[in-house]
Amino acid sequence: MTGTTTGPASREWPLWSTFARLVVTDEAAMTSALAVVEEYLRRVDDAANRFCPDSEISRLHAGGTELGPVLRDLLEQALWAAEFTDGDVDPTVGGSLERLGYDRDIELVLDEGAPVRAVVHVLPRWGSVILRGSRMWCPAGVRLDLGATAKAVAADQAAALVAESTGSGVLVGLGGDIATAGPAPEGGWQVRVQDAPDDPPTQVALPEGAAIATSSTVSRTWRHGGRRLHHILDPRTGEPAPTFWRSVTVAAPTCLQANAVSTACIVRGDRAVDWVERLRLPARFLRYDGHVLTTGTWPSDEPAEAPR
Amino acid sequence: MDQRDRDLTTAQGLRRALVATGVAGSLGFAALAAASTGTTGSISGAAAGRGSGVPARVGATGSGAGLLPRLTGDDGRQEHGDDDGSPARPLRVRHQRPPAAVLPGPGLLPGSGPAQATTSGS
Repeated sequence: MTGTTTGPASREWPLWSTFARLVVTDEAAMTSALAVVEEYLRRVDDAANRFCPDSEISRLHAGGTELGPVLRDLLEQALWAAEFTDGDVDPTVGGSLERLGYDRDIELVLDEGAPVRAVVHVLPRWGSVILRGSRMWCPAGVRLDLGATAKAVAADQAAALVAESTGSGVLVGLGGDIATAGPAPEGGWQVRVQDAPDDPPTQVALPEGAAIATSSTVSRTWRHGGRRLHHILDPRTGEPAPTFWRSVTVAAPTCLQANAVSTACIVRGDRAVDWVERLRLPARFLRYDGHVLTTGTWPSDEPAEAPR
Repeated sequence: MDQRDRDLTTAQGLRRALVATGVAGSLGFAALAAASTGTTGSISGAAAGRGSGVPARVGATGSGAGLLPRLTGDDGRQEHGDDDGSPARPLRVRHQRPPAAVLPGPGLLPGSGPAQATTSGS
């Protein structure tokens, strides 16, 4: 624990083609917090970066079966998300993403790749992945992509590690995935909700320990085979999910849950709102015509100020 | 404080120093925690993966909030602070169990004042 509370501090740095953001309520905890977060995120990258040939997940794709503790956790959480969303969020879509041209960091994906060949094939599903302790088995050729859930799990874990080690309240944001731990600032964690710059923004206050995540059909897009594609696939078709929503933002007790639900909402399209109502989660749905729907305790939209 | 010491007050600078001195092994969570709490810890490890391949040793002692771990190069040369020589402890990241169920969402309030972060699709 730090001895003296001196006020909030924040840091932001580029990571995984997006930005990592760290906010601590106690400025004196920042140095230690930053070191913990960077070290943990490096381990996540070493474990799950499918674009890096030296990563653990790349070695799995080459035939390995043994998982280290970080990758095991990430895969276990990904399989939980798959089961919870009835397969709408599925870690076995890696092969489909590669076929669609998303086979390297999004900043390096060519904006106009070769046409996609129409090939009849059986898509793998998450149920074909068996995880027992630190070993994993799946059919040959299955390519895992943990991108849908790994950032969320990493945000949850990094926030918990910082709160535990420093005693400070902490917010960890990895792109759209934001987790908090420890005591919140007075009035809650102020989070701006805005995907594309021309989308209508709003701002909400998260209570202590809450998380929030946004999934979008506008961000992380590329052209391939004459088509504009986005990165959230319907695992049943291996194609980008229909663009019913521009973005969906969900608040939940953990970032993994928020992310799993927001991603599944993109896949579910117009069936998503009833599902989220039944889950009793606060959420904000932005349609392509700019119309906003909200569920649960989501407050009515208010003008938002940009983070400082 | 010279430029090098100033560099060591940031995690990026810390990593640069680790790489520059061949100490590319893992910084221990316990050591980092110790640095912030004023207690003493020490980490030893071997550089791996993208590191330099040079065996690493990182000792940590903090004497107050926010102080940094002490760094010792593989040649034993002290880089920052003193080395206490205490036993090695690995980075400990607790196993994260999947949730049993999704609980009802948190009660949100309308935001007010400057935002501390932005959520957007990525």
